Amino acid sequence: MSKKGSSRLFSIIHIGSEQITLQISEFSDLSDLHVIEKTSKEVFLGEETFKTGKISYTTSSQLCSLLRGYKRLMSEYGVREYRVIATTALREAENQHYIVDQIRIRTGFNLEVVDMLQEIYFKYAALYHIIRKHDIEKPDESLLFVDISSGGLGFTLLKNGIIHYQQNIHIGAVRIKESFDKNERDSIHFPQALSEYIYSSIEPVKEELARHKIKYIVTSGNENHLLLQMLGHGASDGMTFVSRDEFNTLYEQVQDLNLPQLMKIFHLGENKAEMALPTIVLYNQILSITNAPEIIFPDAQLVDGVTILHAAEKMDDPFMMILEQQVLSLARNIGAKYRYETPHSLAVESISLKVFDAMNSLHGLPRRDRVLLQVAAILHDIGKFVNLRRHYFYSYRLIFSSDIIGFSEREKEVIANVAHYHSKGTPSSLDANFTRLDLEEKVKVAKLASMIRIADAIDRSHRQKAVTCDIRLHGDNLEITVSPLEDFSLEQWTFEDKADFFEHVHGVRPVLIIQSGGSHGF
Amino acid sequence: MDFNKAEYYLNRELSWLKFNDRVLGEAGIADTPLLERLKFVAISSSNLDEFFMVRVGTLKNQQDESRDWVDAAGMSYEQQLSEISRTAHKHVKQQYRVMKEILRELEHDQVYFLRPENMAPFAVEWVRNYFENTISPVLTPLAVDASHPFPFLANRSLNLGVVLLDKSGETNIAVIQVPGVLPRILEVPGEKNKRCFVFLEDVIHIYCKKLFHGYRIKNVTPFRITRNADFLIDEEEADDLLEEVERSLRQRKRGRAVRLEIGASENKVLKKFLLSELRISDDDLYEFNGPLDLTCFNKFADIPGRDYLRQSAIQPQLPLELLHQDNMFDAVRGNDILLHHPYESFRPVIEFVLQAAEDPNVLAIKQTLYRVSGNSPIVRALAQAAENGKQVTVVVEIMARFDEENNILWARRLEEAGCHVIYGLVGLKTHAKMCLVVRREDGGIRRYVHMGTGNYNDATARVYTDLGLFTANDQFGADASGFFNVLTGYSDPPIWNKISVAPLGLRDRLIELVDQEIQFARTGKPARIIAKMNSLVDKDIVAQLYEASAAGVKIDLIVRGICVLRPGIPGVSSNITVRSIVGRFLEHSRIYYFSAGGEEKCYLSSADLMPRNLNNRVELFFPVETESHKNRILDILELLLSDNQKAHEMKATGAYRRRKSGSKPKINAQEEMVRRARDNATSAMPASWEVVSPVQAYEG
Repeated sequence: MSKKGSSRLFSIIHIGSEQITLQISEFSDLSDLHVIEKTSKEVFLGEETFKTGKISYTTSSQLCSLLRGYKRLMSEYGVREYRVIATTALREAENQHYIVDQIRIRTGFNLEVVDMLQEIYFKYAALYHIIRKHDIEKPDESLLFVDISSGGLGFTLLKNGIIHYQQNIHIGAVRIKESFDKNERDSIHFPQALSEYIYSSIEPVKEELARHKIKYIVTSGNENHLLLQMLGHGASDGMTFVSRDEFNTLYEQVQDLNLPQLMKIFHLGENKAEMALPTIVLYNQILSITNAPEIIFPDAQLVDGVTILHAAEKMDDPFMMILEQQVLSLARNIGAKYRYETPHSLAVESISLKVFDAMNSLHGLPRRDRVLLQVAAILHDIGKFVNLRRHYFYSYRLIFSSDIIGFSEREKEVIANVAHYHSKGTPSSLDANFTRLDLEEKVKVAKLASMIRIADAIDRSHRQKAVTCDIRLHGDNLEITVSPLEDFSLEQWTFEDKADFFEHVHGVRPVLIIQSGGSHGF
Repeated sequence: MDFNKAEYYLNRELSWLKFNDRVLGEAGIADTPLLERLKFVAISSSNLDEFFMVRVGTLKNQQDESRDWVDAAGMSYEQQLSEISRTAHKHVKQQYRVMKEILRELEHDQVYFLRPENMAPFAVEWVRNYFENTISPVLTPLAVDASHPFPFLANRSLNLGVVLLDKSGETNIAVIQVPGVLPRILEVPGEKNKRCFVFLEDVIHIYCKKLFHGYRIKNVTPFRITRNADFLIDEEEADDLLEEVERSLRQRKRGRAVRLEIGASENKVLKKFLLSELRISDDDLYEFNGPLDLTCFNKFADIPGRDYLRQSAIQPQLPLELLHQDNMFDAVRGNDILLHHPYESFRPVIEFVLQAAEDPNVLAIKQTLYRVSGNSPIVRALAQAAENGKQVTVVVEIMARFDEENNILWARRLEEAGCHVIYGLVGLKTHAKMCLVVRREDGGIRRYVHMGTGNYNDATARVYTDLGLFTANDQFGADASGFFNVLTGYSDPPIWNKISVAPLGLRDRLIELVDQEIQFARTGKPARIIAKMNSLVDKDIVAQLYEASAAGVKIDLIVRGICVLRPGIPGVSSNITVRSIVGRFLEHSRIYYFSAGGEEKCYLSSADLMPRNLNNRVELFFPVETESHKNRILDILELLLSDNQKAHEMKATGAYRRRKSGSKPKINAQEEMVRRARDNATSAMPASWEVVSPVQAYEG
């Protein structure tokens, strides 16, 4: 093109369980981000996967031809930045890898199959963005973000900018529907059975949620449009508020309706009508385990989240930082849950980040890995909650099995491995946890773990003796200058021990320089 | 109240025949120039051909399938067919009377149609040479006897049936096809100022004995067969739609005969023979004293010279918005632009596509094409755009009737140029007219949209009245993108910002708009609908209009062609008026106006109110929102309603009466609009359009 405005284009294709969506957005910064093209096409991928375990050849071929069409649409706008992602339906298909390969060969798209945590994070980003825009967040008020996807349910509790709780459950709208066969769904006992089924699945989060006074439930989900339509709210831009009573009225109304009645009264197609009851029962159950007086239905979907994250990252928008802080706050909350030692954890976090930054010209790691290091530092000792012996192994296990939104499963595995090797042992192919990683991840784990080891050594006594700590690269040495307030022998001995591994990995020798007395007021 | 009673409805076929009467009526208006009058004869004749091929063909097909079915007016197929036959016979009688009267009057202007035997000797010599050198080589007489079965004669072709006696006195029949490759009307040398013409078949007639050595010619009579052209294509099963259409086209040429036209003759042998061979009943037999197939006068009316026998062509104007603006995008970005063709030029529409093809900032062009002209500048521009690297998507309606062969040709050409050509949605004809241009500008992506009531056809845009709107409005832009995404199969129908689309939602939207007027009327507020269209056939809509009328809504309908609604039935349609404008331009725009409690909503559409438009076609219905444009459209409607020259008002009986001016000033709406466009604009094209536009290269 001869002229190029300052705006950029980004395109996201989402292969969901019920529809495939293409959204093309234009932005010059996050505040003027706007959608210029959005199209979606109904598909039955979720049904197919949940029923048969895989995606058929015919479906895959139809999928490819639609994707080629979308590729054409993208080229019509000259889009160069894009992501193509798939969620549950592909994630859970046995033949996922073959489908991804077919798509790559036939369309040229590298399809990312995102995991549930990423999916929830994308949507969280979209919801939170819109919440911020509308200034909904107030001090000391809790917001419960509920994500209802086709195959999963995510709860994220935010208060004062801190994520206090995050839990995800394998129960989603399509999955619920497919858990019952047609005869069961037609039974008059279905609503009751459905309620019990859902209650048993979400009951475990009840206790935690009951501890918070929740101002709003903020939901995202494919079925939001359906619900709003049934509630008699027209298409609104942005947000729709629905009170508990209003919702209950709808719940009472639909309970006794069969499918044809639902279709007739609410003007729904059969597919939509089939989703209506499971969705409404699910929302009702969620309402019943919280005390929130109102639900907010923002107009925000996964594609919006991916787009917002992309734009925020490209434009270095502070929004990125805010989200990162929230994710870290969640990590700290997980740490607190396992009674971690806050001062030590903070010290290790701070020192390892200094090492990371000082090594910037040599470690060759992207900024994203700094966040992984940070979370690993925060959580490196939580295994002690289980057992002091081999605590590093339990740290690995606990991190591995915690839901920390903002990270993919692969990233979480890197974090868990960094924690595993935070104090000793050489990462080796004898360790099952390490062999699960690919080569790039293995090197990354070694680099990050060596940094945490240095940091951990400097606070070996857990007494934060090194009040100041300056770290800089000097020739072949990484000079770490500390001014301890008391005897530093334990740290010094430990340090020498750990420095070998660091040098081994980075080819740079960490050297501890102890400045005694002096300016620290002895 | 039951608005569905049969007596409230007219039969659509008979209503169409009345429309053709009105067209023919224009041929009888004494102060219209003679060649224009002759053109109306030709139009009524080709209209009738199409009517027989499509409507009568369909009725005959259906008659075999469901004998008991009756239409909204309570008529069975059998009743309809017999009524059609009666009316059509009357109609063609009038057609020939008017035609002969015009030919007689032409003689005052020294234009003569001669029988060969009345020609001057030097003309006879000229004709004999023409026969020997030009006609004879392309003639193929076909004998019909035991070893030669009746030949297959193409739909609408003109033939001469020859009755022969062989040496043994046995009667034989032969058929000579009048060659379609030669002009039907020949100009022969005349004396002084006289211009003389003969019909090709008459020339063949007098010389055909040369073709039958050894036979005695008893009789030569022209005849013409019209065949059923209503054919079905199974799109679901068709692997290659283009090939499927081509196959069906061959079939159409061979459909069953639905009408036989034959020259009047004392000799009954040929007639009897044809009736039995073609299995045609007396109802479908049309005998004429005079030339068959009057469509030939259409071309004849354009003969060089005698310009005073024609109306002077109008000079289509450019609206003021485009006066000092040669870049269409700059112009449209500033303001929406409304064009009224043919009073205003179609050139800006062509320019829009041409400039898009060349503009480096244009990324993509998407366009629907239904019927285009022979060497369409728009098709050329789209091909050029694709060659220039633009993403071009063209939604081609391959099955626009009687244009299929033409459509296949240019669809292939577009494909070759690299356009993404799609054939719309299975089972639905794409009748909507929309063009979308996506452009990358400093402020970001911007979309330009053109929507109209008529086809992207520069030839018909000179004679059809249509409205078109250019806009750069975001919401229309998003709708246009969505619309093409649905057509290309990339998307399920979204929720539209502005437009409504058939078959999904357009009917509901109309019903909602009429309902709104009913509510206003019931609450004592003024309520009014003015609707202009080509045909009003949809029974559900008619019933709702009756309901609206009964509720007190004032409804004025301007329906050029078929109208099954009866106005002025007490208690049912006493608030409805129906009129039809038939003038020098073909009324083609579809306009729907609702007073909406003073809000005044105004819509343009590609759709008539026929079941086929609302159920089986992709149609577009869009609001005109700019205040000045709304006023302009309302002015157009008011002007059409005040026409007392070319307007025919329908009575409760279904009969039409030409409106009279009486003591009031004469108002001819079309002529008035020619004047207004001229006052309102300039005929000067922007200089750059004349020079750089590639269209010049093949326009001349």
